[in-house]
Amino acid sequence: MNTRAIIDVSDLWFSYDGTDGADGGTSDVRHPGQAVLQGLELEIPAGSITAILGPNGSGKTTLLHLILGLLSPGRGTIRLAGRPQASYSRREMGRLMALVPQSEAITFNFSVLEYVLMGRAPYLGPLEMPRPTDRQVAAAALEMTGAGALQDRPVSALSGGEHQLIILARALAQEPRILLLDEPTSHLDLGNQERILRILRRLSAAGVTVVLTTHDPNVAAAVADTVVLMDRGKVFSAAPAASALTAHNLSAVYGVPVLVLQAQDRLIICLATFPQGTQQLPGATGSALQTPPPANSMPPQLSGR
Amino acid sequence: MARCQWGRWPTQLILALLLLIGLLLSLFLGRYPAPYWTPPSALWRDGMAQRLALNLRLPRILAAILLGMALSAAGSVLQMVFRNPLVEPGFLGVSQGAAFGAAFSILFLKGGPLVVECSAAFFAGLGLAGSYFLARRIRFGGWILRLVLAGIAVAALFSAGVGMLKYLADPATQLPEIVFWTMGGLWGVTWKDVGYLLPVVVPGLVVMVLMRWRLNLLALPEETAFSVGTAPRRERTLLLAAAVVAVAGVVSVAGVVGWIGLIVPHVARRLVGADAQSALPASMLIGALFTLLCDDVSRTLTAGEIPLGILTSLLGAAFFLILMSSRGVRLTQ
Repeated sequence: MNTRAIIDVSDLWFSYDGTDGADGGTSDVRHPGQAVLQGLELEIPAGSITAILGPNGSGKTTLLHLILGLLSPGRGTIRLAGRPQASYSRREMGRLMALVPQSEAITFNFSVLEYVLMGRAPYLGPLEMPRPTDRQVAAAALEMTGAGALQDRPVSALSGGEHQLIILARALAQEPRILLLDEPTSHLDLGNQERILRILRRLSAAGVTVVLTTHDPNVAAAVADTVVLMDRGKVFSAAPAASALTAHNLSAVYGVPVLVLQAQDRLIICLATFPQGTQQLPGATGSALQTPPPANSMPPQLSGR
Repeated sequence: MARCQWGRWPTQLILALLLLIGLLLSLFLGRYPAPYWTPPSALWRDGMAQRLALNLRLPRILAAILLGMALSAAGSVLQMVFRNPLVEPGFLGVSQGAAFGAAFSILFLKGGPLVVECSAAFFAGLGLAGSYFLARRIRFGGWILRLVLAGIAVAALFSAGVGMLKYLADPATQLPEIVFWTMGGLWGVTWKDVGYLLPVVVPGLVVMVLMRWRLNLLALPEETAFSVGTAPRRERTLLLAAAVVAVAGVVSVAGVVGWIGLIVPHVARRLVGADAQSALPASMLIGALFTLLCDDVSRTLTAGEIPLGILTSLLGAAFFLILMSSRGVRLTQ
């Protein structure tokens, strides 16, 4: 066990049908093979940015929910900052860890500041109301995300990018040591993606442990110190971005030929084939999964209509 | 505007003042000695008018205020806990369950008012639980629609149950009492009834008021509410229990009075914003004021009595139609 790991997950099994999943789900007649996580092992060092990368349905969100304590594992242990997860009270948990969910529909039309203030809940007793100091922390969290000017706007009047920023601000108002983000950039345009990833870098520099899930290898390449590549409930590889994000690994996990390009010191990852044709781009190394190009196919840039 | 624990002071203060004025004016409204208005001079000189004001009007006024507060607070709590702006106690089988429980206890349990209230609270809780679990089992539509549909079905079941009990009731003694619950109203409320209301309704209201900021958290999606360190299941259960007890208390005295719990929270949110820190108290004050005015009309407008439930439904439903077709009401999910 690594003592520097702030999140330490070992032999984690989980299945949504309520069995412990340790038999791979085969005991359930209706959902054979439904164990979402199958003996997952993971250590996340404090202060790092870890991207959990994998195809849809590979168990990324389930893993986040297990770390958060929203789901309980069928088997296995989760230790947080050296203590077993179960030893934390709900409030302690809210101070240790914050979550930015994949999509958060806010039913009632709070003002942005009222919403961000809810991140102060773990610092308040069950009957307490936010104090002036909580307002200051919430306003500072909004400033940090660059959304300070939105403070008095109703949440219904925000754009998609602004919405994501205030959700991040609410999580930061919890002053967490660990920040979990579930697909934080998947609905955002390029400018907003950049804004969010830059904030994550700043947080990491300030000592916050950042764990994000994403299905997009480019997001992982852009921001992560460590990339955990997940495949059907297991860790396929966990390594620094440059060595985890290889065409071979990605092709195996996503099941399609993938091309990894290097430009300056950035990795650029894209599909090696186009849906319209099966023309191969030069340099693609998805080996076993490649389909041979038909003899008379047109070049990819001309094949689309 | 000054902010504090109760939200924006001026609005809350104005509402509280209006309620106080409403309470005082209502003492002078009635049909003795002449229809509509009892002049203050009559209250000083006429012993009969004095007794009327203190022993009939005042308890009824207080009951109307408690009724309005309980239904509006419970409406706010149900809407936020279920993340559904289209529910109220009467839409989720809570009021009808309480009415059934009260009628049931009169017929079969034959106990005092405490037994009636307990039975009402039990069946009100049963109605709520029934609506919730039925909504989770319905396999089509979004959450808002499913909960409303399930609530309508459960409310109809309990209403039918009250209808059945009518046939079993002794027409001379029990029937009038049971019929009364299906209409909803405050006629014949005495100090004794207020005495039964207070120990049940006030604790329920206090719990809801004290936990009002937590309501904001519980109105967030499940995973967010959990991640900010709440214990969603425990806190929701506590708030719902407080709402059910308060509603059961007022229903066992006033019968089913609909629509207040639906529209008043919407009006309050319009006025002071969605934050329950200010919206819940505002909702209670507006609900009390609205119910008091409706009850004033119901007891003074005609020589007979217009049941309060009919008036609140008429005004509430009309207002609801306006509200839902206006801009600014947003239903997602």
